[in-house]
Amino acid sequence: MANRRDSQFLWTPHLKSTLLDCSFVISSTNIDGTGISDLKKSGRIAQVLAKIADPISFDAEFVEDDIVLTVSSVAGLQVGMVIADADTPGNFAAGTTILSIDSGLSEITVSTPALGDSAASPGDAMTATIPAASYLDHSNVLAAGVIQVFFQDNYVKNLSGFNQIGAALGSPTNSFTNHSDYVITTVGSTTTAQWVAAGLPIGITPAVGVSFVATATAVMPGTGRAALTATAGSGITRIEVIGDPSKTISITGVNAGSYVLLQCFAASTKTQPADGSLINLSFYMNSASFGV
Amino acid sequence: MANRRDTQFFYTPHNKSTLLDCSFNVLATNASGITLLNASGRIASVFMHTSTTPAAGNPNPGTGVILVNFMDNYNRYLGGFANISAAPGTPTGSLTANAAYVIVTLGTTTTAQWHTAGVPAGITPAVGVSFVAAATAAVGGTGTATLTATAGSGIDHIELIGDPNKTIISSSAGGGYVLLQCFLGGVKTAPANNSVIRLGFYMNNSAQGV
Repeated sequence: MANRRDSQFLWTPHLKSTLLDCSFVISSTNIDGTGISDLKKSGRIAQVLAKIADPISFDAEFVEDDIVLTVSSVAGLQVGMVIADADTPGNFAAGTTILSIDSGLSEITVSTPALGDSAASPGDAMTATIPAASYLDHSNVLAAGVIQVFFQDNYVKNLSGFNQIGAALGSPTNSFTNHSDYVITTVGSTTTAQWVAAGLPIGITPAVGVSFVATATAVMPGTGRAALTATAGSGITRIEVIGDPSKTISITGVNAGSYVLLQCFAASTKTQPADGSLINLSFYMNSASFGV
Repeated sequence: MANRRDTQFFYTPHNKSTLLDCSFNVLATNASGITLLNASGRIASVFMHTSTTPAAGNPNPGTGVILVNFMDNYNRYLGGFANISAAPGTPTGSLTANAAYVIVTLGTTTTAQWHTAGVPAGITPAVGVSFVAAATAAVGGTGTATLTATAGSGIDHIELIGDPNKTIISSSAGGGYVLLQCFLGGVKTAPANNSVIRLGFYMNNSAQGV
């Protein structure tokens, strides 16, 4: 690490100013229902929630007692999704989930048998929904672009904050263009020497998430892949706070559940960040109820 | 408050780095161009453009410009950051499920009614509290809340004007200052009234060392 003998502290006018932080990736299709993934919460963050992807619509054919349904498409379906029959809601018990998916046969296996028959081909209109995650008594029902950050502790005042946004990625490839910037998505069988030949600086270990500038227009050997960032980046230009965060960072009687609500914008429009966008948030708090 | 014994300091390479901060609400109809200044972070005053007679000390800067006066002098401007809260929309007592609201008036609405509306248990209902509506329903009582304005604060970033290192050391008795300006889509723009702006200034307070 930085081999410096920095003995200087950062001074502030406040009695116990504290800098909290977290980072996460927007993942609206994460089956855990948080709307995010890869949460780094060592900066005293309890949980982060963001919008869940909208339900997937498809058609399904089945008869009573079936647990294997023939579906019109498995695109977007995930094990763990909760299914519902939009045509005849009583055809499935509430909370029925997808147990497995056979994309070759266009079939899904569900957790409870059908309670009735579907209509004839193409069958009943169905939806599959990612179950919302909960934190304490908060269920994830957030609108597009809204992010809710829960803290492990209570604070007196939100002094300020800042954020950093990382672009979502495009399609992985092993065919690189000289001088273009890439992010490793799969290390695969590509050797370190081959990554270095592609442009990875010597001394940097190839790993998912590593960025580098390609040093030649060439096809990289092995199964390793990297991607350009998405053309539109994260799709957002800023993150604003909703309301006065100093009013929601302290919970009466307990030391969990305080939060800040934020919302993302592209220009003047509230916008959901692209899936795969990396968001780093920092919260500059005052943790002492006396002094300034 | 956070019952943690954080014994970790924030190390920097600088001899006496100092983090100053302030928050204020934009209000062009106020003589200082702002209101509700929280200056406990060693800020003397903040001024923005006003549509009325400027307050003493307010040079009435152009649209979107922010003048921050410090209580003291500093040696070097190391960096800074801004945090912006969206301006409120129209207050209503009728909420839509899952939308994020901010309390505008408490009115006669009871704490229990606010909690039913979506304010989490343990959060004291107060003006400025944000919450996610639990249902599509009327709040009850005369309390109101608002969605944030559709365009939020109406700005997308704040930039420095000039080299702040040249203005944070004042030769007069007062402290130094920094001028900033707000932008939306590459155009200098005034933040919407009642947007809240929180600024952090990372300063070097020592002429020795680095």
